[in-house]
Amino acid sequence: MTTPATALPLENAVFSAALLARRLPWSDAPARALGLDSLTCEGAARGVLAHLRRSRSGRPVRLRTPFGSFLVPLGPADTARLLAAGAAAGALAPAVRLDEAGRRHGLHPHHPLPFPAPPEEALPDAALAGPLAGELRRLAAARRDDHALTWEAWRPGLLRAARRVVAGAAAAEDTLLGEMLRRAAEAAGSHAYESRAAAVHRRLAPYLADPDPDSLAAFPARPATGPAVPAARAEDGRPTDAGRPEEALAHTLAVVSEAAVTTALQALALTAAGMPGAAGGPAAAVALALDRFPPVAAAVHPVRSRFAWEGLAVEAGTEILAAPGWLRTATDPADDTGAEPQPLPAGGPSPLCGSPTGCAAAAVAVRVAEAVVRFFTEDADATRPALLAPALTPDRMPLTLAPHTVLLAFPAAGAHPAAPPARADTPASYAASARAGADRLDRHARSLAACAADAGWDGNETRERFRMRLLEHADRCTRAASDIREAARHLAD
Amino acid sequence: MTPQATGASPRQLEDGRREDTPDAHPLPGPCDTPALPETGPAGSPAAAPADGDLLIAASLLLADAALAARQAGAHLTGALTGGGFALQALRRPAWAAGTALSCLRALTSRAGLGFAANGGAVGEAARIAGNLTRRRPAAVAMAVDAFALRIEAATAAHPNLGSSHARRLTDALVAGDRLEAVRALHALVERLGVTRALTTISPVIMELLALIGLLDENPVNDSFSWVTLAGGVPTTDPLFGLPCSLIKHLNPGPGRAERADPDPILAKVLGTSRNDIVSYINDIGALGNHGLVLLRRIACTDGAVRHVLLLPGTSFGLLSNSTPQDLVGAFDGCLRTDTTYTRAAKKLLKRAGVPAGSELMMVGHSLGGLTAMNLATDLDVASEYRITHVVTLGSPIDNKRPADHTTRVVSLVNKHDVIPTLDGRGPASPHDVPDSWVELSWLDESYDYPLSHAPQAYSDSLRGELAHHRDRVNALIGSYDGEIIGNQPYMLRDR
Repeated sequence: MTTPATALPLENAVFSAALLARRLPWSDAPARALGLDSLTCEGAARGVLAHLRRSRSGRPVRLRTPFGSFLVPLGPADTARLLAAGAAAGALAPAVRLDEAGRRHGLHPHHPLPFPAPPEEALPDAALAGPLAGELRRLAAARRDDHALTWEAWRPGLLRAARRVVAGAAAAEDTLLGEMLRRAAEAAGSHAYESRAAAVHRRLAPYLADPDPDSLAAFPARPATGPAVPAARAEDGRPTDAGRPEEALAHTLAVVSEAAVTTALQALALTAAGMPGAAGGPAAAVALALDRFPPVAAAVHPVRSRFAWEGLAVEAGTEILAAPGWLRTATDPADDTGAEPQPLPAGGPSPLCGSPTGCAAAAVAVRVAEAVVRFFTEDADATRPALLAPALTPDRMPLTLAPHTVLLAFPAAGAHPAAPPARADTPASYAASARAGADRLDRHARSLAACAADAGWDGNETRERFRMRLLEHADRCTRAASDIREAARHLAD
Repeated sequence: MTPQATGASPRQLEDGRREDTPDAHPLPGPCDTPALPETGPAGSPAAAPADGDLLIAASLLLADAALAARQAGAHLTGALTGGGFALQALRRPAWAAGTALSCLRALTSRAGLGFAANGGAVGEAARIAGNLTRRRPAAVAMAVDAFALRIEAATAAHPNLGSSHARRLTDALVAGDRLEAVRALHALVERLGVTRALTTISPVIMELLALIGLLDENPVNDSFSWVTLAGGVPTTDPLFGLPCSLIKHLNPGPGRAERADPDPILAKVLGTSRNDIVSYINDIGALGNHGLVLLRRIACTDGAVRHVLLLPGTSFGLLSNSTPQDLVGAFDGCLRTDTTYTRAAKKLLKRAGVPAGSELMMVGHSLGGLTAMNLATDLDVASEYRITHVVTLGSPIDNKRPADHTTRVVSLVNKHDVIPTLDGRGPASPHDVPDSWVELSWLDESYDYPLSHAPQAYSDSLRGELAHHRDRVNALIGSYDGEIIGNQPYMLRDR
């Protein structure tokens, strides 16, 4: 039995510095501007991990940082096997997410679904085809004049869609449920978690008591269509302590919300940017997004009791840093090959919830994300989405893709071909905005003139004065629209 | 004058319908207005809307046009000052010169947008320069006329606004003549006294403040006016443009709740109390305005135990006192949601041991109603308890929304009462309350403030001619019928 090797002080220092530097705004702006990804904070941290992988034969290494001392497995397969061994021994406490600046965030604790079903059975096509499409059509109607869907519209729209799919139509409006779920996840591991989780369960209880048949909430009440499987078996076949339906539904909602809001948007961005790995359709795009930008890019799994793995003794009190998202570097050759990523590994750590041994809810969430991508790329009355921001090129995959920085346009199928969506913050995009503004002012001019023509203004001097003011403003709007259109023509040249 | 239920402003019934008074005309919303002239062309008497409606429709059109013109100016400013333009200018200087010229022409044309630069560091600097040199862009001119139309529309429902003294004041403010406005205000107060003058201009107070913000030389208070025009919640004060968040420093304290014993008067009133809106108002009146609130426990007829929290309003004796029920607290509650009153009330609920998940109804008058709504917007409270009802009397709550979409909001408004208009929603404002809210309003004989704002005025109205409103509210809160098994007053303190 051996103990894990410890990283050299310099390796610890570089890794720690990369995490610390993330807390300083603009610290890696020069490297980013020069396109030197390996010198950015993310690049440096990943570079250290790649160096450790090469120099330590891939065996897990202990890294000491100001944010904790971590046992870091250095490959996806090792990570999965180590965590599986820890979970099998019952040695792992619930995980927390570690962000790229070393801060810890609560994760909604994993709960196995109370039904050992494949995702297509847990979430029938009817639940996706009808209700989800309805929510997405509603979201598509919130596009701006330039057909762009902003993050401010996307996030609440997809959160609503997730509630609709998971908890039913009555939950779609229930924004409080989403907030309670978020706060419960934030409190995971603290003394406040129990009360917040209990509040979430109280909130979910009515949706389970009277479930919408086209939602996941109805699944426990639905008659089994396949062979009977003992309910107390996990998604990977091992016996589990499947908890209350409220816990499972809350976990599913948390995971589906994350996938719908974040992963689906990233997948659409990769598709719009023409990334080779995303060209295979919605499933490939979602798999690529999850592979490169997993929502839980790094999770810390505290070890409660000693266990052994492949001759390595892992002591109680150790913290395992499972960071599949950080094990890929800027110079990873897979970035250039366009090789399609593999689908979610069965039994491996979940990129959506941090579970050490896979998550059936994550598979459902992936299916929802694929349905979202399919809607916006194939089903909706729109042409191929256009990526307005950030600037991505097919030959260079970024290390991170923050969803709030993504701005996509979904032009209607009949949109004028002479006015394709322009990249954000370019003169062409301002020209499009100016043209839309001019059109709006023209419409206002017509409305004001028509209002001034109403017979109701006749009668007294005050009203006549108002009528004249309306006409003056109508003229001014027309003139302003003309000026703006001329400026837009120059901007678009 | 007997109380009259009114529907002149857009009041919602529980099912989303408008108040069913015969003279009620639903106001066109911003989305409806463009269709107005098309469906009612000139010379078509059948389609001609009522006078007030036409004024309001025109004000909405102008407000939308003003906002569109302002946004167009911001887009052009952004185009000129953005990094993308600078990069292109390095590559194509001739194109950049021509483009800059055409953008500047559009941004400064007197017959078009006027001096319309805004947004971003450069744009804001240009806007401030224009403001200081009294250049009035098209957007401002349209906004001023939109407010003028709103004031004219409000005059139909509030005839005192049409008196010569009031009109002198409003005309002066619309013209941007502040000296004349001060003289007119002085004359109005001399003629009517302070309370009657305040009551006279109260229906359009937000519009008058917004006009001051737009037409003065202070460039940092304009956002108040634009937010008021768009129907949002101002985040700055109207005169100096200071952020509303500053008020939290004037109203500090973690809040404290202590059990208290009812005095004989309160005990007597509570002895006859029941689940009836008039009874709740009387209870609030008996609690007074010196920090006392009441938590009631009811064994309801359906077997559930529910709770009612009664929250009185402001004490006007001092600007600030040791309780949350003071003037500073009222402003704080109006502008923010986390106040000493809400903090103290949350401690009360904890201290009283109200079980998690309990159904809770909150009834509040004035600041108490504001606090009830602020508690309903608080995620901690809305998560811990099931807030089923928020019932407010004379409270400016229209810009707040409960966290739980199932919370039933019932707002009772005496339209002579100044206080409910402080949320920015006057009789001619464009924004409306959600369909699920129930807002019942009326005009009663209590014209002057503060009489029109007193709980007793509300109680008297609901006991008399407006008994149908009382019945309606009682039906809405019927789930709280049952036996009162606990009445516990609490004294709330700032710290």
